Amino acid sequence: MSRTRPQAAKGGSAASVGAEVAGPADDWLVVSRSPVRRAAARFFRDPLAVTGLAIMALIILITLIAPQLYSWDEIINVSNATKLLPPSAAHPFGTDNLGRDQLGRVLWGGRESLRAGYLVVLIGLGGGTILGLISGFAGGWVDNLIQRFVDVLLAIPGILLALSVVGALGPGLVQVMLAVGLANIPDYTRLIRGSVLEAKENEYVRAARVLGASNGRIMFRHILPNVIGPILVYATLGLGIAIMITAGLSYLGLGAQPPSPEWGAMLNLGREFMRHAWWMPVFPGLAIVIAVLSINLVGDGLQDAINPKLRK
Amino acid sequence: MDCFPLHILHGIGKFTCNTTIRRNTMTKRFLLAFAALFVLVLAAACAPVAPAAMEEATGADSMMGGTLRIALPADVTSLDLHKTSRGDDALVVGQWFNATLITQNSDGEYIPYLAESWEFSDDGLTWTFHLRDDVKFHNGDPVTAHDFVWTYERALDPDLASPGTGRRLSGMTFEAPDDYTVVFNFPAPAISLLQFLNWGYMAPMSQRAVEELGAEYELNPVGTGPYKVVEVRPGEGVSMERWDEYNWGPEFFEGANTGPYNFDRIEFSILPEEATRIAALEAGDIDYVNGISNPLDVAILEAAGVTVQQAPYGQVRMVYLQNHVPPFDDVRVRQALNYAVNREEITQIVTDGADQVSRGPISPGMLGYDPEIEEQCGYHFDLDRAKELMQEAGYTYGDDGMLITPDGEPFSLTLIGEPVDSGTAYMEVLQSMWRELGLDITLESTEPSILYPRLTERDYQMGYGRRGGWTSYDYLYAIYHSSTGRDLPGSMRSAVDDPTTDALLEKNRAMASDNPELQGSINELYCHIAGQSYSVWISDGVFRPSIGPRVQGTVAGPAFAGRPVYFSNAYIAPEDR
Repeated sequence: MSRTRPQAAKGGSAASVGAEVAGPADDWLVVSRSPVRRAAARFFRDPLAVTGLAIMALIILITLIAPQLYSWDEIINVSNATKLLPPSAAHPFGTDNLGRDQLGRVLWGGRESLRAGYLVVLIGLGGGTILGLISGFAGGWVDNLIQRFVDVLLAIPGILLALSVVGALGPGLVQVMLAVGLANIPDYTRLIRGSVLEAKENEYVRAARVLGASNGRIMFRHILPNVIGPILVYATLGLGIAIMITAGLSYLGLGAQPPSPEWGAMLNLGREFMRHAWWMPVFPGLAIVIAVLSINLVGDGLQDAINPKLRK
Repeated sequence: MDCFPLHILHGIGKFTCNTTIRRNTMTKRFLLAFAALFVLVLAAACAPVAPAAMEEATGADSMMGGTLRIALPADVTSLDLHKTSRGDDALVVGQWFNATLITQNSDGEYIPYLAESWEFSDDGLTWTFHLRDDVKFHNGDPVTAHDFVWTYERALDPDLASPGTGRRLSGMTFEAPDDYTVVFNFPAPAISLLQFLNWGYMAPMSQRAVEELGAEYELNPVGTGPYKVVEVRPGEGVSMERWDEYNWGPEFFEGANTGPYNFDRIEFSILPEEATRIAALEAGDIDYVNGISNPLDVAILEAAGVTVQQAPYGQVRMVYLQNHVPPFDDVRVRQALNYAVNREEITQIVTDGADQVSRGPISPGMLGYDPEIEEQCGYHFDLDRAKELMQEAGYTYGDDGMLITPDGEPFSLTLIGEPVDSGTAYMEVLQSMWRELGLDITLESTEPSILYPRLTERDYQMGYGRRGGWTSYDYLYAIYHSSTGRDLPGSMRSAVDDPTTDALLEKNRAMASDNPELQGSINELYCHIAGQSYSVWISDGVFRPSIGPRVQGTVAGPAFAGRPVYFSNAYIAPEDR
């Protein structure tokens, strides 16, 4: 039964690399790896995508070691002596209006911003995948029900949903992540449902059914791996958007609460001092730009790698 | 297999309609409108100077004219005096389109406004005001004592649930023995409430206008002040026009104009962002802003010719504690919080030292302030004393230097507050200072629409707030007297229920402002409340009303009169209009 999938996946391009490397021991894994490897090879030949990935990896690494470089006390302790100092050797990104080192805050802020971005995407992707799979696969009234639910979610503007969640649960980063994640579900659901509708007509699905596979097995073992590609691309691009929306809501004061150095919150604070201390908004703003740009480069690269036909 | 449908973008580009014919007529209309506009601009440019302006520029009326443009930080909640009590609204309702019984002059003394004179009964329970007989509402009706009685009884109507006026008038009754005499009857002596009558929300309302207009009244309010409201644009602003019949202006200062004001119109616009307000003031797009919070902006504005008034205005910045629930039911914990705040440092960090340190319940900008008693009974930064107090209260310190409650839990609290006017910065510095004490504080600095319901329902442990508008020692009554109620809804309250505090507050209320024993009594109250540490008092906020260079002839108001700038003689020179 498990052989059905590789058969469908075999008709790839000639750019296949690495399929022959794996031994015959694990048949399913071997053949299924080949399109992934082909995509990986295409991805790594794209200099922009590789640059994006390198920057993203660097950002993640820096945010992971931030606590070793700066303690949390340094991030929140205020001091009049170091108030609003311009960038210097001691404070490469300058200090803010309460005398806190901006470099340390940007590094710590990356932890919050990136975590928020990933969680938002995970909520949207997880919820959307399950709903989309069920909706597309089951069809009929189940499909109808889920799609109407999605319609309702789509009809509520994201910012309004975020505001209602914040209104009900109080302001905070977690609430905002939940709200933005929920608002993302419809997009993923629609995307997956469309792909599932096409995929379920394929022979390998019929074959699986004939062989007596359960619905769950067909959905998660046969259809999901075949539709997940474009979803991952969309999710990568969505990650950048999620970071920006979270930052935007923090900028409005609804997200991360002070003294959190979340980038949007830092930008919000910096705005007040823009004319007196340019470094206050510039550095967190740059951090958002670089992070989102690198993620988008990776997303574009992934899209080209997974679906070379889309390439111009 | 290689098909990856992206259905996300479906439905774009469905534009099929016969736009050609419509576009032709649209173009014609546009051209026509453009031509008309062009002709208008040409006419305006060619006309030498409007004859009206020429007339005004000569003689005694030369100061008359022009539009005063005022920026508000938020939309006006309501222009019905009994439906709001917000400080920002008070600027609109109090200063421009309403008049009060009495007011305060530039020396802070009470002076007649709509009332010519007044007297108190010996027991302080009855106040009698003798009204002017020439005052008219904007709709032309004469203002009589019956209007005052009707207005105050309306505010007391429980169905109306007046948030400000009604609450302050509670327990009082009103009489009008004749057309020009109003009598207030108090349940207990409350001479110190006199300042409250200078509050714009205590102005008389026209019974006829309220009853005829019904729900429309809020959009067409009728007052007795120097300007009448001509248009209310919810979400955008308010327009007012000079009322030429106004001639009952008070003598705010020597030589004050008591007749109609000089500006033809007042335009209130809403600019929620302080940075936008400052930029607009600097660019000359607006003429007046009620407050500037960032001290760094003062130099920028002054360079642009803006007059920035800096004085403490009794805007107490404080942290309200729910005194009746743990951990704040223990006076030692409350005192420790006060001792752990380095007030010199906090005002320096947040306001460059512009805010004045306040060590106790009465701050420097407030009526009843005594620097000696503040030195004696107020709080001086003493972290060791604060830590001792926490330990006396049964708290211990963990290895990380953070406090552990008597129950063995980490000691953490949530502080909520409004982000406006450096509020967030104050809260962040407090958080950092209390962390030194070993207290872990979570901050919630949030939108007023989310914050206020929580404050009203007392859904908080500690609340940072800035109390303004009622700048006499008597504000203590409003937040520490037991009658303000533990169970009553209401924004920042302290839930205090202490007979000694009540007795002292009542004693002060009953004393006339010229009573020689008053200051001693206030000091006794100060030391008692400071000792009980019902709140954490931090500073007296500088308010910085800022006046654009076009506006001349303004006079600064006294620190605690709730009217920071007198505009009665202000004007815009003809060449600046």
